[in-house]
Amino acid sequence: MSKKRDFDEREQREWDAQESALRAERSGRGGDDDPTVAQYRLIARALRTPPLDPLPSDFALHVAARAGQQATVADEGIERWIERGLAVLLLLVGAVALRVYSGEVFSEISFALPEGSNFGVQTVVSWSLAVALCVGLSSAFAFARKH
Amino acid sequence: MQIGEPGGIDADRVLVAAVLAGTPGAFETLVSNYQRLCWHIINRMVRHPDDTRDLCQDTFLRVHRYLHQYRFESALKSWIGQVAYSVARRHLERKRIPILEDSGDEEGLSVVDQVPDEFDLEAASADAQLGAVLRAEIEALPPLQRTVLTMYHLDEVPIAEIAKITGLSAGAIKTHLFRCRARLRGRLTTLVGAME
Repeated sequence: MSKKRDFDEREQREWDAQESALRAERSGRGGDDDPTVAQYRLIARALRTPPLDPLPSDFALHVAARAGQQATVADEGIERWIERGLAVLLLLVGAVALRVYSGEVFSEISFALPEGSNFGVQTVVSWSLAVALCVGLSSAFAFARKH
Repeated sequence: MQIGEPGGIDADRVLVAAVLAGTPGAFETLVSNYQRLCWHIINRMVRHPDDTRDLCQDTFLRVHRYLHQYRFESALKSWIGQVAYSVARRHLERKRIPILEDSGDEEGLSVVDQVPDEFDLEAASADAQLGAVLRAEIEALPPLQRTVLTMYHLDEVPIAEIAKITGLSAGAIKTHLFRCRARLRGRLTTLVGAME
């Protein structure tokens, strides 16, 4: 199909016969006097009854169910990624904050503690880590149970 | 809400909105409305029942996933047909099956020249095998031409819509239709000649 050209007179007559046969077959009207149209009606009839494999009767129902499942899985996937993203972000922010403010805060806590107290900076950090570990473990178990 | 009387652009808008809103049963209605065309396009392209079912399902899952991108620039029927055609085409390309025979541009005229005007139609009609032989000839056509002929004759899709579905020009579709039908007529007269 490199270049296109219009039909010449003979081809146009042939095209008209093809289209006339098509219309006649669609409308189901009687026979044609024009032998060319009559020939094309045989062809049009064959073209309207091609050997097609049957469409399954429950196709629409089945496809709609699959699409519904796919949409649910996609939504859950998005939720999981958002959840994971937020958790990672929280950890990063926490780590940065700890790195930036830890010395200052802990030294203040240390100074704020009553004299002779057994609590020092190391104790506060240890307890904080222990609490974080507990929260982390319980979240991990909850996540594992859910999935 | 009554949704999904197929065909009209307004009905399509209502149906698409219902599917996007997640209305129960809306997508099933959409599939029911357009499954016939989708099935015909894919079955005529690949001619294998299992492949047809899988590819048709794939088509509608894509339609479901990308329906939010549909902008009503063409009829929903054409848009779905376009997805079905491209899914079937990619399948044939993966299997290295050519969808179109390469032929000269002047073929149309030569096909018409081969066909004599004298033809004993009564003798032809009398033979019950003729229709089956013609269908076998149609089956021997390349996938693109088979599909275009089925869309035009069976599904009554206008040439402009077939052009949108296949991504070809309306002129190219008209040429395919003309050449194939003229070639079939030539074959028909040869067959009748051989039977006599």
